[in-house]
Order: sequence, then C-alpha cells, then structure tokens
Amino acid sequence: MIEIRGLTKRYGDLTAVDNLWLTVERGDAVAFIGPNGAGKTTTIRMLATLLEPNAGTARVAGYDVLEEPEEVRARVGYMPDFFGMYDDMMVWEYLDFFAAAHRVPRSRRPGLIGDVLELTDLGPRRDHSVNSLSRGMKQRLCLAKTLVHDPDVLLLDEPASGLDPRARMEVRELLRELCKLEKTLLISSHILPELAGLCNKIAIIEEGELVTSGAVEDISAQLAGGKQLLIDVCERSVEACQFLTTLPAVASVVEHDSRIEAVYHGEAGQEWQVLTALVQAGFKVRGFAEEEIDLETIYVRSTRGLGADG
Amino acid sequence: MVEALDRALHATLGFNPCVTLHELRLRMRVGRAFLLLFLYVLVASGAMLLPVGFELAAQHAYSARMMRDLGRTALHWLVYTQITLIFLALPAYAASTIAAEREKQTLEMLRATLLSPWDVVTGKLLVVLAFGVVLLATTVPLAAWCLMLGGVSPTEVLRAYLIMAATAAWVSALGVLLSATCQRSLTAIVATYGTLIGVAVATALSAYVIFAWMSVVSGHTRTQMGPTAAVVLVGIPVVATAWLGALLARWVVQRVPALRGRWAGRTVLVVAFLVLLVIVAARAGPLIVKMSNAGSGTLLLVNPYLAAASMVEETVPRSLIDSATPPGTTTPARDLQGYVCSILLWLYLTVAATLWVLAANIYARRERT
Repeated sequence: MIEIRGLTKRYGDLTAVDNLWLTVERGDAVAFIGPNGAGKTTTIRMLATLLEPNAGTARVAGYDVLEEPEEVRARVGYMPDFFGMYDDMMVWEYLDFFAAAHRVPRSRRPGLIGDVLELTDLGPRRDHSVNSLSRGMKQRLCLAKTLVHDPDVLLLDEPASGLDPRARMEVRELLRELCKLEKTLLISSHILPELAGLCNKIAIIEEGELVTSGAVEDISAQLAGGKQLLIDVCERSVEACQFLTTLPAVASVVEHDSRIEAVYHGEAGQEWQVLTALVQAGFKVRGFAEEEIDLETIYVRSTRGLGADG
Repeated sequence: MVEALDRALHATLGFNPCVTLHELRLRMRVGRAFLLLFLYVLVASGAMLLPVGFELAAQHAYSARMMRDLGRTALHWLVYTQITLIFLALPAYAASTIAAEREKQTLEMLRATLLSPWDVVTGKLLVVLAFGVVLLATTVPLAAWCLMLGGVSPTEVLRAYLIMAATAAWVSALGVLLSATCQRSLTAIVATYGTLIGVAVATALSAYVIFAWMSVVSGHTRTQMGPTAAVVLVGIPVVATAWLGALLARWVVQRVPALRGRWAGRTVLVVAFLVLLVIVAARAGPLIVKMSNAGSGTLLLVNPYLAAASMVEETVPRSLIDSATPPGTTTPARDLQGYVCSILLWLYLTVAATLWVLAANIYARRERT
C-alpha cells in the first residue's frame, strides 16, 4: 500500500530523511517511531504529496507521489502534527468543507459526515461551534476530517501529541477502531505507550535513517534475544545479582532498588529453574515475573538518543 | 440542481467553488462584516452630505443651477471617499486570506485535499471581490440621490462605479498575490499597503515629471500628451491583454491531451500572443491618436487614486482635456473622458488578471518546496 524507495530530503546542509526504504502492506498498522527531529514528519509530508523529495520515489495506494499527486491525495487521509481550526464554524460545516474539497458529491456528504461523527464520538456536537470543543475533541474532529473522503491510507503525524491522559486514551481507542476498518495506518509518534498494542508493525527512524523495521514480535525477538525477568528479593540484592550472573541461562543483570532485571536466554518454559536456583542458594525471593519486551524497550535499545532534544 | 452546477464547474473550468463558499461562511455572517458595512455607508454618506449641508446652509436662495452644482459636488465627494475606503479596507482583507491560513496552520490540511492552487487562489480572490462589490452596491442609493439633484449624467456615475469596481479588482488581486507570497499575514498586509502607496506616489510623480518635461521641451505651460506618451499609455494594456489572452489560449489547448507537451504549449503561447497583439493593437490605433491629442495632465489619470474621481471631476481633467482639444478638431471633451474610462478599465482588469495568474503560480511553486 505504501512503498518507499530510497527517499531523501535535504534542507540546505541538513539531511532530514536519508535514503529511506520501507514497505507497508494493505491493512497494516505501522508505528513510525523516532525521537523529535528524526525525520518522521518530513517522511509523512512527502507521502502526503506536500513536500517534494530530493531523491527516491514513493508510491501510495499504487500511485507515485510525484507523478500522480491527485490520485494519491484522493486515497490518503493526512493529519498533521500541528494544525489550526477555523473559528466561527460549526462541526458539521468543518467536515462538509473538507468533504467538498475532496469533491465528495453534495448528496453523499450528510451521510458520510454522520458516519465519521459517530465513529469519532462527536455526534452530539454536530451543531456546536468548533471553538467550543476541547483539545481532545478537536484532535478527534481532525481525525474525522481525514476520514471524510473514505481514504484507504491514513498518515497520522503525532495524533495524540499534547493531549491529557484521558484524551490520549480516547484517541487510542479511536485508532483501534480504525484498525478494525482495515485501513492502512502509518502513525508517527515519540510517545510509545500510545502505540503499544495498536500496531502490528514498527519502523524506527533516527537522524533521517531507518534503524529497523518489521513485525513487532520479530523485532523484539531480534533485539532482545530473550525474555526479561523481574526478580524481587527481600535482602542481599547485590549478592543475588552476582549469583544470577553465574547462571548460564541468564545473559545480563541490572539492579534497581532491590528489584533485579535479568535477561533470560535459556530454553523457553524453563524459567522456573532460575527461581529454584535462587531459593536453593538461600535468597528470600518476594517476587518473580517475566516481562515481554515492549515497544518502549525496543525503541530505547535501537535508538542512540542522538536527536532526542531536537 | 446545485450538485449539477458543481459538476459542470468542475468539468468545464476545473474549478471547485468550496473555498469561496467556505470563506463566505466564515467572513460574511459574523457581526464584524455587518459593522464594517455599516461604518462604510456611514462614512461615505457623511463625507458626501456634510459639504452639501454646509453649502446649503451658506445660501439664502436656491436655484436649479446651484442644485446641479451640489449634485456634482456630492458625487465627487462620494467617489473620493469610496476610493479612499476601498484602498483602506480591501488590502487588509485580501492580504490576510492565504497568509493567515499559513499562520494558523490550516493551509497544510487544505493542501492535502484535492483543491488545486487555482481553486485556492481563485476562491480567495472571489470572496474579496464579492466583499468589494457588496461595499460598492451599498452606496448606489447615495449616487442615485446625486443624480436626482442633476449636474451629473448617469453615464458619469456608471463610469465612476466601473472604475471603482476595477480598482477593487486589482487591489484585491495584489493583496491575494502578496498573501500567497508572504509567510505571515502582517507582512502581507504591510507589503500590500506599501505597494499601493508606492504605485500612487510613483504614478503621480512620473505624471508630473513628464508634464514638466513636456512643458520645458515645448516652451508652453499646457501641452498635448503627444504620441509617445499615448503609445505607452495605451500600449501597456494592449500587451497585457495579448499576453493574458495567450495564456488563456494555452490553458484551453492543454485540455486537449494530444497538445499537452511542453513545446506544443510554448508554441501555442507565442503564436496566440502575436496574433492577439496584432488584433488588439489594430483596434487600439485610433485610441492612440485621440489620446495623443489629450492634455498631458491626462497622464495623471493613471494615478489609481485620481482615476475614478476623474470620471466626475469637473476641474482638473476636464479643463486639461478641453485645453488639449486642438482648435479645428471636433474631439469633444466628454468623449475623451469615455476613452480614458475604457483605457483605465482595460488597464486595471488586465493588471488584476495578471496578478491573479501570478498569485496562483507563486502559490503553486511555493507550496511544493
């Protein structure tokens, strides 16, 4: 659905996106993550035909972004990271305008607007002024706007940035709904919990270069090479750490305030042996749990944090 | 019905009117628009009625001739005030259209839709023009009152309003052009007012300089414009018209898939330009002869501030035109005023159209990098 081949964008001396290759299949929900200034927005804007690349090509829904921008725009819903709202306008008028801008015939607009309002939970606000909406509602209205011409591909740039936790949760629920509609999603974010459990694929970008991409499970296995064990001992935690490093199935051990994080390399299903060994060695184990590698860990491990402040 | 109109507009002109409708919704229904209209009529009628009131209060007896003079004075003030108000109100309105969207970060989303640069720029320009037409229309009853007093003919009133509408058109197009160029609306507004002041000062100064130069050369204080100035004055709109016509011809031809190539487009442009230039120049020939007979003071009429007022102005241009009517020739002054009106209309509308085309091109280029 999205095919990026060697995409490059330079602003003067700065290379924002450097030879990026990425393929997104139909129905995929891709978490496009990286620190601020990594080139996420630049990539998304090039895919939305708003920015001309210096080199490389990109095809969205089978159309080239440079050669057939109209065809691409007709099939893409784009939500920018920062956006303004027109004042003195009602919610339905706002959506009607964008539907008209996408040449949706007049007779079809009321039905479509009703649908997207229902999906974004803004139905009761249909006749309210856009000004009166809260930040979270505006974000949802912007999402409704990107859906109003029924696009196949959604390019969402930081869809939940600057929202309070509740509003962020609402946006996440909405994105989950969109995944069910079998749209192809490319969601950029630097806030990871936002995308956890939502996306089936992941692409990590840093300093304009793709660090890694693929299915979430594949990458977590590839990066971690094992499971993370969380061990809690009542006392002698330093000694427990030293003991754990002597076990062949444990790769690395880190200790924070008597909580021990150990990476388990041994046979799957045999983690209990670590617990048995600890108990037999006389350690008072208070807690023992295993943790799947999450998106955040993948992100932290794969990026070097170079552009984190940029 | 409306849907069929949408489809027809898109099929024939490739134009999507949603930007215009959207802007009309945003701008015209708010209280500000009505307040602005009210103030406009208030200032225009005040500026027109006050001098008339003073004149009436100073007189003890009234005659038909005096009423006719009053009618002319009133219309004169009405037109001057309206030109001033148009120069004050429309540039800010036009210059804030595109730049304000850029500033408010709404333009990005607009660009991601199927709206073409033409749709956006034309849509915005049409709204500003609509506002200008509404402003002018509100004062038509005041002009009718001047007509009732006598002293001015309906033709003069019509000419004055046509020139004002054409002025509104090019001022709006200039504002939209600078709005498409500038990043911030404040910059666009300042640039538009700056350009307008520059144009007003430059045209007035150059007219005076040419006038003085002609006086020195000829040794007379009052002289005719002469063929050179007339050729320049009529020539600019002639070339501009041919150029715009050629652009239009290319646009039409490029709808034909077989002729869409780069070289075909250029060839059409050049051929159409040359053909149109010959046709329009041939039509403009007699006008050049008539204009060269006019007083050199007529040059002052290219000053946008004086143009509309000169259509009803009794003193400056008429006396110059009269004085320039050579003995033995039969060019009546009023007739010349008609020619001046048509040249100015021609000039302003071609300028407006050029600025409009430029705005769409600049917008398209700017938004792709």
